[in-house]
Amino acid sequence: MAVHKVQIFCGQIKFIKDLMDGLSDEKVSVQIEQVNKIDLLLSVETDLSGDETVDYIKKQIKQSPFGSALHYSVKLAS
Amino acid sequence: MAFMEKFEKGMEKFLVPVATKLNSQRHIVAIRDAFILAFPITLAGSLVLLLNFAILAPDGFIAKILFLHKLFPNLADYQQVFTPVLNGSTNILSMFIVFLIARNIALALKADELLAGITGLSIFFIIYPPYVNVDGANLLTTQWIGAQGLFVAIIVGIIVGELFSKLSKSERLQINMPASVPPAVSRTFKVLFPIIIITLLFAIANAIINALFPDGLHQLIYEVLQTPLKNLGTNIFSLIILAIVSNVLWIFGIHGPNTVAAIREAMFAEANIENLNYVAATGTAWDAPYPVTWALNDAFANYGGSGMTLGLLIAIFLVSKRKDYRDIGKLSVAPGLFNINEPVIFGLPVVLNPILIIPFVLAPAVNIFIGYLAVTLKLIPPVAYSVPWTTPGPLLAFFGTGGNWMALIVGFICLAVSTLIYLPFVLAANKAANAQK
Repeated sequence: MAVHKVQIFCGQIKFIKDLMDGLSDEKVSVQIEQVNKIDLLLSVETDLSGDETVDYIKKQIKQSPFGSALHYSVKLAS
Repeated sequence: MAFMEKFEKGMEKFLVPVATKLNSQRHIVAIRDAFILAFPITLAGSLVLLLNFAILAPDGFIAKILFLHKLFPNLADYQQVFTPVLNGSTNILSMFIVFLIARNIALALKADELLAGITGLSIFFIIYPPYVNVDGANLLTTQWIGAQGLFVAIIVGIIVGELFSKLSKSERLQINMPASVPPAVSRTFKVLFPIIIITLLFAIANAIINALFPDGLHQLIYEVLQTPLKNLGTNIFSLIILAIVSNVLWIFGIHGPNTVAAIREAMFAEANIENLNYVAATGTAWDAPYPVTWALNDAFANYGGSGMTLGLLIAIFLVSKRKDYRDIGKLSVAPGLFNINEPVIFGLPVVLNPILIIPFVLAPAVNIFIGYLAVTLKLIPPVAYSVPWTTPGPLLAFFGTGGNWMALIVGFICLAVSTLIYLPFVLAANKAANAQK
């Protein structure tokens, strides 16, 4: 298992935080490390590669009820 | 700042649920996605038409630059080769839309989306004005398969999508074939009764409506619904308000263009197509019937992306002493040239930034008005051609008007004006940073 740091930007970060908080399934186990005004930092334990993890997180947001309403950006934290 | 925080909380409570509703309501999403899916076809038609007149018209801007009109005296004769492309794109847009909306709704309701789409198209023509016999030939009017039939297409697509999806889930209406039957056959028999029921319902409804309104359903809906909405959309105030709403949503982290897309398409689709058809018929965008469409926003108020952020980047390079601003500005230039502004939106950030809210909303509104004035004063023709939104800055105005050089100049004026609007706010952001230190 690898651990990737993923950063999510969004003007409505509360909704992203609520979605990511405790997210754990057969592919990823997510822990929120830091929450700021418009971004949060995740620690994602997974077998996926870094880019696949970003895509997976994006998919989780997109499939959520507010996914198509929010404007957000997901990237691997440097 | 306490006020700002309260304001943000209020927006969070009010805007996000509304935007979420608008972006997840299946009929709105079906309409929005139908226009998005049809967009490559209409854009291709528009671009071929643009190239047709730019290259093959003797007074086209590319023909003039390359002296094609002198090299090929019969240049204009070749235009007819490409003119029919509109017959396969915008001129049959209603057919695409009715199919796609019925299909999108069936997809949302987990029904057979392909057969729902085909049923939608079938119903569209069941209620279509009948054939007219002229000199022994049966002719079908093309009036309602393009722009003017869009609202009928939307309504039929929604009703058929809903009915089909619900009826096809009823086990009593399903004909289940043995396992040995090929899947394509059993798939079609499964929804046979729902399709027959929908067909009967629409045939009867059509007969009743035709008895009550001899001009037919298409004419009725066009006059009662489509024309008033089109008139509401194609005035400068509606356009500016829609642009302001879209940009305010951006500032609060909501996808503005997505949220207003269904309303925008319903308001402007017919006007855009009428403009394009006018260009196809006359070879020029001058005096196109609808000078005010969403194309004004794309052509003059979207450089760098929503909020005219190319102006913000220039303002940063001109006056900002903040290293973080200049660093993010440098990173944002390349995507910004193609109207992608995520780096600057989240990097500075612009999102939830109380200082940059005003210019982010104001600059596009002012630029739309400048574009509108230029069109109204006949300095430039209306923006009649669809151009990919990733086209760099003022070139959007240049290509959108069919290669009008004055439109290019107006585009640069808009860029300069947006820079001027952003300048004092970038200076204020500098001061705020100094004060914090």
